Amino acid sequence: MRSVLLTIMAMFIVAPLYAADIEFDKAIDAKTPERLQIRLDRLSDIGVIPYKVDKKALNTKARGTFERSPAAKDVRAKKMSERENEKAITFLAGSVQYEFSKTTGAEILMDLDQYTHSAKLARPVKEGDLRARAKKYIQTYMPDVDQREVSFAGIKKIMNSVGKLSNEGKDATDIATEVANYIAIFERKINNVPVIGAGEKIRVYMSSNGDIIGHSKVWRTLEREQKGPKPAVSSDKIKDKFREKHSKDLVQSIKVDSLYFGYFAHGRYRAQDVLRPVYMIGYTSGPESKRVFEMYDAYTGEEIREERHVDEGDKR
Amino acid sequence: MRIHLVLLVLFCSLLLQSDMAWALLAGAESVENYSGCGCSSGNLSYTNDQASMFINKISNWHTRKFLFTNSSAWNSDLVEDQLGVGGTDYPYGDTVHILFISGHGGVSGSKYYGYLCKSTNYTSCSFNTGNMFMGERTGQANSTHPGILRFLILSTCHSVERGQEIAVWGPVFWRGLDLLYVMGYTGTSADSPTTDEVGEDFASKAAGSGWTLKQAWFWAIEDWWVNDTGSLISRGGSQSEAISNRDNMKLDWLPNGNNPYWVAWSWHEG
Repeated sequence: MRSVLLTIMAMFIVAPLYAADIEFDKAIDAKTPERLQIRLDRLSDIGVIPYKVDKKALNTKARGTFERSPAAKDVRAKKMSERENEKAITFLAGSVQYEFSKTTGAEILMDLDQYTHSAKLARPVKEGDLRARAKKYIQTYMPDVDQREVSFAGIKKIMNSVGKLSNEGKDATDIATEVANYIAIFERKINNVPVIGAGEKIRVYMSSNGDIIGHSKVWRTLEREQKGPKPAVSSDKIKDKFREKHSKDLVQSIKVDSLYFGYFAHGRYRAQDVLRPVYMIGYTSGPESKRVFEMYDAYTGEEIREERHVDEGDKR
Repeated sequence: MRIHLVLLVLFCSLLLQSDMAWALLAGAESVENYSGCGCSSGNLSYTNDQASMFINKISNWHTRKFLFTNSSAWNSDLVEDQLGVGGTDYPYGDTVHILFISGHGGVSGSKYYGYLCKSTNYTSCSFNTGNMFMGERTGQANSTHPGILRFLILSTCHSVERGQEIAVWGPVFWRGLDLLYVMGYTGTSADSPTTDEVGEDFASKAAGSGWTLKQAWFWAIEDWWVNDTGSLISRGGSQSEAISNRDNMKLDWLPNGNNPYWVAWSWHEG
């Protein structure tokens, strides 16, 4: 009798873990290539011209930037120094750092006295003005960037707040909130196809007053002649692949809430030979779940795995 | 000549001591294979990369104490050992100065729940802030084994959740005078090939480039695409100290023993 009861109880506990319900949020359809009017039969890989470090040229560029960039206006008279590690060469003057990735040439220019700090006399700024200011900064200070490929993606803010605790940390009062920085984000679009991933992005950093305090630029030099077109699979086919892979997952439910299509570019420290079109699907499997992203080759529909397995860890 | 030699030895020994004082003990734990440890959370693909890349990078400047992954990464390592529930924060989670955790996470009521694996004496699939006593000093509750944790990074969803920062982390700061800074996410965080470098990037900027914790954490999140929203919280005996700690604290800052009458926090919006 006891074992029967235990079996029934176990069935109730285990039952929700069989065959996950897979739900696709309708909002993701707005980002499919079909809806974005991208021709799936006219895609092709885009070659990346390998980056070669030229220290003399970087030094000259850094000097010019420290002399002219609004992000460096507070350190004009400071002496520039240089340091190098396995990934990057960085030029420093006062609180401003200007880093170049040795792999891709990607840049970080930042006034660290202002990044994540609120300006002392913050004044209200309009987000439309921030976007225009950031766009003008890119036009003026990044002449190597083809402006037709620069697409505004949004404004992000870093917010600060403070509160007083009482009752051993359980209650709080006197909460004050302010903006620390605005970040205008731009992504690359090549023939109307967005580039997804950490690469091919420009971020322009601004103080809470809207003053430029730095930028991040990962913008590879691409071959202009595209390789022969290859047909890509439809977003429906990718959804089918996803269903097939996850239909037997031992979780209660799977909710797909993100779908991206575009060329995939790695971040600033990883070289790559070509930009290749991919689908990226994001899903959660419960209220405490990370949003898991899976990448699929747009030509074949097969999943692309990128795990690096750097270290298996210690044993107990 | 002999005096010169003595001075040289003295100088070297001082240099060595100051270097040792600066070197922190670092630990990291992460889970990808939840089904392998009998827990029902969905399996992940990049959390072990995040944790191992963090520990490998920070080891360039600090001392690696442990990296535990999958079934070796225990929830109990963030549970107070004196509570009698199987906690092993001593001799693990609270015996390092900086701890990086990567896996699932959520908020319920006024507690944060993190998800690693079960262990023999702690069979829950999660730990929570209700039984977390990290960085507790001698004289504080449950301080038979005082903790040394100063900097906690929870690379999980909802770890420093907007609107819940004080309710979740205020009591934890109160219980551990040496715990200075918690970094995490508000909302969901991604498990993706574009975020596996977050831990490494943080370590590189915080330990290698002298950036503040706030700058290094936010930068690491901003630099790896998927619109993740970072968040963090720090403490202070006064309003100005809490703000200064939040904005200026670096890895070489030491706890001063002040009660956390104030907390200051920060987050990505948009």
